[in-house]
Amino acid sequence: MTSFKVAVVGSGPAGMYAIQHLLEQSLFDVDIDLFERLPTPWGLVRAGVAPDHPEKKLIADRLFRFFLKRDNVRFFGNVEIGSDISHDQLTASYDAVIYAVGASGDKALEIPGEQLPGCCSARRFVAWYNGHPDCRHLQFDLSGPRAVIVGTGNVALDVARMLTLPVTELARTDIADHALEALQASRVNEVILLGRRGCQQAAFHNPELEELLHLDGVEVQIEADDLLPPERTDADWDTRRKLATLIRLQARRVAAPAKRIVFKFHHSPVAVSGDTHVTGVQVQTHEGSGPPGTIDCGLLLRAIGYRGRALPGLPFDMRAGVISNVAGRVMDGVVPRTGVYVTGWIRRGPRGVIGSNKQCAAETVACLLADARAGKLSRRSDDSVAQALTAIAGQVVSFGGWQRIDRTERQAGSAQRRPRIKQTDIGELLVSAGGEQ
Amino acid sequence: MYINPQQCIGCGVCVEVCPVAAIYSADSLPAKWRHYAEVNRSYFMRRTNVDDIF
Repeated sequence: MTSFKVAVVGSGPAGMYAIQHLLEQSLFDVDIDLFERLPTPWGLVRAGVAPDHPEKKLIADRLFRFFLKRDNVRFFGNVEIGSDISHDQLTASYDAVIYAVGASGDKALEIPGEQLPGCCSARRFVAWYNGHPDCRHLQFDLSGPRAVIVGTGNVALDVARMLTLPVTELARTDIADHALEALQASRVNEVILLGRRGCQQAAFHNPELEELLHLDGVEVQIEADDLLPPERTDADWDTRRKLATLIRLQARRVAAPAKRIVFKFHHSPVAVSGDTHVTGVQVQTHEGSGPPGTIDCGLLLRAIGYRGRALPGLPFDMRAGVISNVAGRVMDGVVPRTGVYVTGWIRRGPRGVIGSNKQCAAETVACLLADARAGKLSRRSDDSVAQALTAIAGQVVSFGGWQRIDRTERQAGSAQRRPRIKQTDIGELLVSAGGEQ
Repeated sequence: MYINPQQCIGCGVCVEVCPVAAIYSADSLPAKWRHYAEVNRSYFMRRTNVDDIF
């Protein structure tokens, strides 16, 4: 049987589902090398999913892990494509390359004052509380009573929960220790979420919204012109379910609430106030009639969407923030770049849940297999990249190395009755990965 | 994901294999997700009134 060598870049859900589809086809033998920039795999399953949603992380243990145990799959952690190994090197030594690098940037508000300290993307705040090595050093000012989040999607709700959950509850999760400490000292007792459009257009999903009904000691207020009883709208079923929940949240009485979450729909930020640090945000109501009002706050997080970043040497669609592609084939204009594919957020933009990446990867892998059948792949592959990496062996984390990190983290966690205690420093992670080697 | 009660034979195989342990039989739903039995029913009935989900 013809055999192909495939490189997958990125070990988040997009990359892992691509590997699953490659393993489950029977047209060709494949050897897969998986490259990950961090010493740890699983992308946003580890660094994005909120610590109080452990059930969403089960996918790594119960599915993804088994792909990396296969003989024909090798994991190369702590290897960055574009610096440690160039894109050209990769395309030269593999028959096909699948980029599954996600969206590592974010959309800007494009309002004055956005650069002030105290204003940050929710993406980085999430990476901070989840112990992403890039964001472990961030400091957030949690000394004021109020934080404002721009956006009402699932990320905005995650952040609002992290800022309001009782610390005793957070302390049972795998939240990064530095974040737990900072949140223990937090004096934030009100989180305001600004929604540009009405509550019927809000981006949150039903399960995430319904979760707010179970927040202990947290009162939820809804300010919306379009908060109608579901039976009085002709909105779709999902929206009616959201309306029913919002009405219940509004009516819910919390005895002696310690904290509060306020949704302000039809409110857009127009400027950030402050000289050396954020002191507030000026907002305009949807009608835009009166002068903007100011909401005082010491922390302003924008949760208006992630955005893909261009990779040197690959065509990029600036408008969509994705690598230019058709159905997962990377395109130079109308010409497919043979043997180079994309999947996940860098292919279709930062939308969808973990499972959405399965279908996405199925299409990408189908293109790859069709090209392989048509004899379009290079067939010049060699093992030069893996050999080049042996020169920096102590820096590269194998699957065995990750298993040692995983064990170390879980053991540290079990002593505190937590799922794990995350290691967040690259040097520390490499030591754990090295184990008894 | 919703499970069509008219087609489901209640064999429980999906409960075993779901990689994120997202499927429960209706009578063993954890308290936090207990309303999902009604969400599921309501989804297939698509009735106007979703007020009694909770």
